[in-house]
Amino acid sequence: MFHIFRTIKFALQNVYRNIWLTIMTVTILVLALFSVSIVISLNSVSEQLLTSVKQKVDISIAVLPDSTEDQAKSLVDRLQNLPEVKSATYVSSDEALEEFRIQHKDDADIQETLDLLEENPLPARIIISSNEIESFPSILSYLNQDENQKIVSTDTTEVEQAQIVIERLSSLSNQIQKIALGVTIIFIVISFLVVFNTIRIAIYTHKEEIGIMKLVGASNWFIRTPFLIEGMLYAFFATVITIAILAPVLGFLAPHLNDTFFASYNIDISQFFEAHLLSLIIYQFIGAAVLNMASASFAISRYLKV
Amino acid sequence: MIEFKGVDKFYRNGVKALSDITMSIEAGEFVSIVGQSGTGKTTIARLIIAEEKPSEGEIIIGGWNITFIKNADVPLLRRQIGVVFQDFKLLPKKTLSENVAFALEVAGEPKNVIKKIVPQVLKIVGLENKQDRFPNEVSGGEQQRAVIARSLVHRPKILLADEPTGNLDSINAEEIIALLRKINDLGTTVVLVTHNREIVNKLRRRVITIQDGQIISDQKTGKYIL
Repeated sequence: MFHIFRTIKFALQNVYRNIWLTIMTVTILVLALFSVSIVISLNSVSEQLLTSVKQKVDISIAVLPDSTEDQAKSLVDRLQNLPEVKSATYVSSDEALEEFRIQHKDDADIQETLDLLEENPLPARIIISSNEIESFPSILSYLNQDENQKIVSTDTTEVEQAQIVIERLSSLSNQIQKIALGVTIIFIVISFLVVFNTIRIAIYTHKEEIGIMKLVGASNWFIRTPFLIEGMLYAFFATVITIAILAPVLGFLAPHLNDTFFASYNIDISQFFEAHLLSLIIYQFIGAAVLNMASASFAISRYLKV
Repeated sequence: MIEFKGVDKFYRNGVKALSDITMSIEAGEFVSIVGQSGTGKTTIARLIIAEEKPSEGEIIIGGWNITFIKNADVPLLRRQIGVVFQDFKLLPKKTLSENVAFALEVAGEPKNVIKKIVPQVLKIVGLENKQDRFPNEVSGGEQQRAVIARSLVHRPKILLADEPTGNLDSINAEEIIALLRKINDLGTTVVLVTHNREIVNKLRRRVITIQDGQIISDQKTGKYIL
């Protein structure tokens, strides 16, 4: 009969008897998991950032001086009925000035210049936001219709600039994705080889014991299983240690990253990690366990003749 | 109990180890297989425990044709055959009783069975007072007795001893042979592979003599004739 507890005991003996080899193997696995976690997280954050930036894009259209407030507001109503438009808001010339003053409250020169001007230099505006940047060309073409052209002046520069920013972010995100894939592949290969070598050495170390096990009638699976469990144990230790390192590191970095990079976007990086911690642990363990089992199986088939 | 029918064994390099071996060993027999070094005695032992497969012919153990035995079935065969080798094969970091228990552990026996059987077999071989010693703390004869105890834990029908006295002085060797006779008296078939003339002559049991991979004599109460 097959006794799993006894094979776990033998696996733990393997781990304990080759303690330095265990430490080395687990360290390599921790480095691999740590690096892969960082690049994959970076990839997720960059994708989130991109989505957030795309959502945040809005354009501001100046209302022509000859148009009345009613005309502009009726255009806002019509814009709100368009499926591409998420929101459209009318900002009067006075409100625009007030906002401008608030934005530049610390700049004495601007405040002084505004005071010197007799008339409000800022036109009324319509702020349009869309669910996606790709919708803006159709919104702009709607604004370019004859009846609307009399009310607002359409300037495409703002949309083009936003598109450039998004294209750059997209390309950055793609590059991060490629780097993540490259780093993951490299570490998969390294981890596979290290675990393969560790199991190979464990098999050699236990050559005498394996010979006796065979002699006294141990089943083939009873001889093989401890080495497979050994691979699983390495995955378990590596995951626990990686999370133990990753959690405080991210806890320390997150507030700085939030303040520096993500302040104006709707991303809280520490919340992001907290929310994904469990899935990160599960994926790390499953990934490492599958890799180690595959590697151990390969070493067993190659070196353990039962 | 053990049947060889026209067994040949060639190794990969083309060397012929055994040629047309045909023999039958009945249940309860004590048989010595003798011959000089390199003559094919150990190959016969390895064929009995399926460590080697025959190139030609058939091998039947306890009615089970093991000629083409599957790898997965080999452990089942080995639990029915107790094996004793010249080089003891004890684990140095385990005590004698742990070494004996190991054979039951790896076969998946429950703890209570192990606790019951180990003292019994240690008593049969006379090691009940030294069960907590490590192999390097006892004599060669005692180590070999521990190996015999280990080989008995599965209550085998056959005990195969390949040069069990090869590393022992004459007094210890005689003790081991006496133990094998005792086990045989309890009903176990014993196959002793040896080139020790003195022991074979004293035994006065069946002797199969091998020379150059062939059986040259099979005597019911034989002597070492080479």
